[in-house]
Amino acid sequence: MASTSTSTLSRKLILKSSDGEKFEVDENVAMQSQTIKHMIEDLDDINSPIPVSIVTGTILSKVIEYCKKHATEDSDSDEQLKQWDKEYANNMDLNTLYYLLLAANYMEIKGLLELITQCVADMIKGKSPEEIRAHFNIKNDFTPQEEANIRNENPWAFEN
Amino acid sequence: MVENMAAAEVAMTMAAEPIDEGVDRISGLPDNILGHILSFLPTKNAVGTSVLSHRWKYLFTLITNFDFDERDLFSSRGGFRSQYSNGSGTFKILVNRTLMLCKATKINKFRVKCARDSDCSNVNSWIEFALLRGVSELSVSTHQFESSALPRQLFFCETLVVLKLSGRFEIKLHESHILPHLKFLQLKSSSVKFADNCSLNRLISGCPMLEDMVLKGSWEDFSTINISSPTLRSLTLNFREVFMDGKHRTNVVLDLPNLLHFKYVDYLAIHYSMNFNSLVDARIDISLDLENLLEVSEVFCDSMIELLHGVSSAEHLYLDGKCMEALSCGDQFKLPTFNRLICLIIDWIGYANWRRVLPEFLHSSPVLDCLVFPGGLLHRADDDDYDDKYFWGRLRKPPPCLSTHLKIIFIDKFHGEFDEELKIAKYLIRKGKVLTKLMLGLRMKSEKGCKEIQKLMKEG
Repeated sequence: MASTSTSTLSRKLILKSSDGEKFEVDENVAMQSQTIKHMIEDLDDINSPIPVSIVTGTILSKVIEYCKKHATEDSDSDEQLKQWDKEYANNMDLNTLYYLLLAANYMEIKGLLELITQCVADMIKGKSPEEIRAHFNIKNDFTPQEEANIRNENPWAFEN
Repeated sequence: MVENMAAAEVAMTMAAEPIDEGVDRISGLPDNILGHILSFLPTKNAVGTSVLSHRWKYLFTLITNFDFDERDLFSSRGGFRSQYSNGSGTFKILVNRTLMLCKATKINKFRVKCARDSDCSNVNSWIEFALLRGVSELSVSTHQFESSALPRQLFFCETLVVLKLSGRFEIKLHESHILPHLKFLQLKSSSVKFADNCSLNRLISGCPMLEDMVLKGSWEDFSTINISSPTLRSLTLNFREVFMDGKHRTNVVLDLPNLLHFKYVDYLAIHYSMNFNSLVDARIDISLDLENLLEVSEVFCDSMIELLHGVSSAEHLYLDGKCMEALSCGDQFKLPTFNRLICLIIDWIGYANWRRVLPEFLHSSPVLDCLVFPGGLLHRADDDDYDDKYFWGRLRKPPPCLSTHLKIIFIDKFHGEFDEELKIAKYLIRKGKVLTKLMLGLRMKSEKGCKEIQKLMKEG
């Protein structure tokens, strides 16, 4: 996964996913992850692969796609970047979104975390509790009495 | 380095990312991520998730953004107030309750919007709640009848970046007030009061990072608007709402050397003193109280000239038709030179006459590239021979921009059958040496108009 978009002066790093897949990326791409940034500071030999231990290759490649887009400054306007973000998030299925959330959270990539969080929040917005449960496969483990009690505590919150 | 138990566990679950339909993955996300997700929802929806399952019951207490809008809270789909809003105090109680359960020590956004007949007596304590937790965006909107003093701490907040206040309020400033990170300030009010020795300018002087300011409402007690800031880049003054009868402001003093965007809606003040060095765009939309001030209407022309001097550095300029009416109140006027003006938009001019004002603008805009008439070229003023003579006299020597710069003309609401508009359009086509595009928004009613436009197009 060699990058051609940035200057040749940029150092290359190798990221290794939990299932052993390796990705070569420009340093400025990888540095968008605060976690990796801190790891590099502790590393003596930056040529050895950096383990991103809890992220699989499939997800990591998606994370890198995001980081690359956001590492190259001034090529796109804010508007274009927003549009790109939107399409990026819309192309993910629910399953991928969960893993991306965990990855962004673990790797501390603020922009990606915000993007996916917003995307999931939009799925909840405007839905009734029943619709939310159905969308995310959440099992209602309240007894009818418990549920009624909760609804009575904040009745205003359950109207649409 | 993150080989602790929790991470190892997650790693196991992530190993193969099974695509498992029907499995509840979202509930398995860590609290901080779920709290984050709920923070992106209106607070009503966030609290609503408490009924999903035991896992979700208290997740809403982790939110770091608060967004209470009384109207959304209590209106059902049909728009009627719901059965739960029994009395004006209900909103207060539920906001208090939600805030009481809040576990976050640092919050990001806090917005509260009270409805018209709401009990706002706790607003200051809500503001204090947000300030204590290092809020960065604060937006408060109330509908109180009496103006109430805002908490003093509000003007010492180190974390505030965005502050929006709407309602009747009184601002008391301590000697050393400072909002070191404030970038956006919006004050929307029909009644702002500054306590002794306070002023708008003193408030702004404590905002060393301020970039964008919006003042809305009538601000009717302010006969003078005085603003100076070296950092401000965008200013909107929108004072059209409810206005005192015929009481034009006396002074508008704006010393904003780095301002880029200026939007101004107001009754024309008597005097303007403005220092803008490098405006990108300005939009001027004034009103005139001609009925009450008829005897002194000549001053409108002088005031308008002062205002135009203020915005003469703009690259894009929108002028409402009333600006032309103000100019027409004087016998003669001399415009400033608009040295950087690329695009000029003059809206429908009403009772002013194009023949009096258009030649002056063309002569004063040496690099004008684009000229737009969104309201068309007709007017309501009586035509007379004097104006006609004046018009052609002023244009005998064509304005320089016509032969060197003017490339695009857009005339909307073009009828094609009135001498006045045809004459002006023909003139611009004939003398526009570098004109590449003429766009007409047509309002044709007669065949005559049709023919005239065809003729016009041939000339082009």
